[in-house]
Amino acid sequence: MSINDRLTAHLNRGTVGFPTALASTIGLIMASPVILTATMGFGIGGSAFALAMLIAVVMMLAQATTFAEAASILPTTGSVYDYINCGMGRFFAITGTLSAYLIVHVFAGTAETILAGVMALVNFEHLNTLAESAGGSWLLGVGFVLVFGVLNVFGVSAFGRAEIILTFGMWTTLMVFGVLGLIAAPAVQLDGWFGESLVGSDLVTVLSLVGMAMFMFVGCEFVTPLAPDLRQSAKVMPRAMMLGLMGVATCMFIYGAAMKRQVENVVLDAASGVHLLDTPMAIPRFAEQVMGQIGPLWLGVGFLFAGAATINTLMAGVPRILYGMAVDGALPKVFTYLHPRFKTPVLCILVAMLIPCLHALYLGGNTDNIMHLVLAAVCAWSFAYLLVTVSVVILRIRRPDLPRAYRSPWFPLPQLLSSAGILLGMWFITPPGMNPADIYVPFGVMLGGTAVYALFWTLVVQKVNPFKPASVEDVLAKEFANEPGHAHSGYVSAAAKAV
Amino acid sequence: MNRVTLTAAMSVLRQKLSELFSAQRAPAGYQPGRTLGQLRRNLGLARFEQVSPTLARVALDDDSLHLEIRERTESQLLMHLVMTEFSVRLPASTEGAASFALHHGGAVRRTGIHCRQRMGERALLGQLQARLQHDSALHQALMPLDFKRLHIELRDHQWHVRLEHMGGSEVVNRMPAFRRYIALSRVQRDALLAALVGLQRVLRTL
Repeated sequence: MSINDRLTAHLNRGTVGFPTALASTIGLIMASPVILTATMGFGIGGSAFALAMLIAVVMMLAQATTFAEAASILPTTGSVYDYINCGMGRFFAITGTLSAYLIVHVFAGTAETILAGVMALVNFEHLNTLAESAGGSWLLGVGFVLVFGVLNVFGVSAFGRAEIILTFGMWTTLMVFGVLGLIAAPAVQLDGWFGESLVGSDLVTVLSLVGMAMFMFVGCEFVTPLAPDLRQSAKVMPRAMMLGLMGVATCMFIYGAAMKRQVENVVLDAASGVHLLDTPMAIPRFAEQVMGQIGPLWLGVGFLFAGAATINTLMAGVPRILYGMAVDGALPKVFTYLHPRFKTPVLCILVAMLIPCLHALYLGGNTDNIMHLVLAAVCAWSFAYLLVTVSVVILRIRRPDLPRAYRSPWFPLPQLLSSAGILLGMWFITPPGMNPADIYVPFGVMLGGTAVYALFWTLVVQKVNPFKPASVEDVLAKEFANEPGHAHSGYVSAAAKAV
Repeated sequence: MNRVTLTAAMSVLRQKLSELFSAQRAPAGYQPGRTLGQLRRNLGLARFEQVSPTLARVALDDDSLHLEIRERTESQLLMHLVMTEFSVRLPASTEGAASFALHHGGAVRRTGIHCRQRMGERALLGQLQARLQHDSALHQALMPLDFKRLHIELRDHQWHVRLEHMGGSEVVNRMPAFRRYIALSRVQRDALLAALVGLQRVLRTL
């Protein structure tokens, strides 16, 4: 059977349908940093932020067509790694993948740790006062990390059956509060749906808000690793990504408009210019305005469970990933240590606990730093997006013969549009009132470290040409060889991927 | 909409919701048989028969061991784990019912094999512990083996050994999206097969 036939057969098989693909693209909406970003964005930018969101949606839709084409050429579980590896070689593949997942995790994971406690307790006034006097409500997030880390050392799995309920619960909560906030009598007189911008509405200001708006939509590529599992993936996946993006945008527009209609954006600190909507305090105020006393309670319990479950997932998943990498030889042997009784990768769990805890402690749990972390994560994500786009363009030029079940329409217009937008977004990423160094320096340091690691790994450990692109046929052959029912002969060592 | 149509629609909705929230529901994105396929490569055994997407029957070339391997999943929020369980059944010369759990002892380093009786006759525990200690080949195979769970059950004149290894499992995360298969290394593969052969040898004469 030719590679074309096998690829077509592979894409038409699968066990996952459209609903799962759609859920994968919109799963990000329940993350606390996304909700806070939307609150802050609409707070400072009003209509200008809404315009920035529209620009971000168009850019991400253009980017989605690139990801869909990449996934139709390479429907592998390696996804981003394999796309870049075939386009630009291992050095960029390792740097891009670590940038997309690990660096993002370092920044966004720390933000989630800090916000898990802050977002939950801010809805309970008395508990919040108590927590602040004890050192800060963010310590609850650190507490979650410690508790779930220790539970995982003992092999205890929490929230095992709560996935559907939590996902469904957070979605419903956001939509219910958003719609109720829109249909209730407005508490604030606004010009238009989203009110006036506090920072101006000229082109440069709008562009400076695009980076913030992008954070709400990055992650549409999360569905691409599902490609091998999707039925009719060439058709289903692009639709799921586009519908997912539109779904997130609609939900956030409703939420933003409702928030602006119901919460007066009063000045909290005249000296620093901090407004209510710049802080997590806006959320309980909004909940109370929409639903009375029960509102903050509902949101508080929702955020508490969602935050705890997200952190538990990190504590259950990341250590196993590290252990698997150590078994494959991609990490030092010491990471293969298992507790004699519980058979849990204790050292890997410890590392997974220390990364967000130490980072949060270093930052002192300061919620003022959250937006810097979020924007640094956006830079890391954007960088990976650029590498994927360049790889897809290179493959179109170098390998026009490759079977493409999905082709990005109007090539290379979407690629030029998304790349130009991403570069502009990164250039103007600092919103008014922020110091650019607070975003670029940590991102640059992490990216530099990743690049050095990638160069060392490819040159010294793997002893390969770091810039030689991998063969698409070889990557596909390896993926097809993993399929159940495929005949194998003899023992084959597991392929060790660097990431 | 008439009453019959409404009742039928409600019944379908109730069934869909029941399936959605069912404890037995497979996690979103789970691909049955994928992890088993990876494990097949690690085991490298010629006699590997895939009975269903999640179940395989395996035998060693010299017929000294016949076993089943089954996939099972464990859900987390936006993530699931796929584990594989090795299972050996053999006729028992003893009557009754009993259940044992084996685990390594020690706080930091493995100091030995401990056997805990979960139910059944106490006399069997002593015999099993003695056999485990005296069968040096089995002891040598079990000590380095990274098994997460090892259960031995006696029921209906049959011994049933169930072993779950750290390797041969997969982490499937949806946010951020990644998969990672945890390989069963060559050393662990050899120890695993030796341990199962050894347990079979010990239980046949118990």
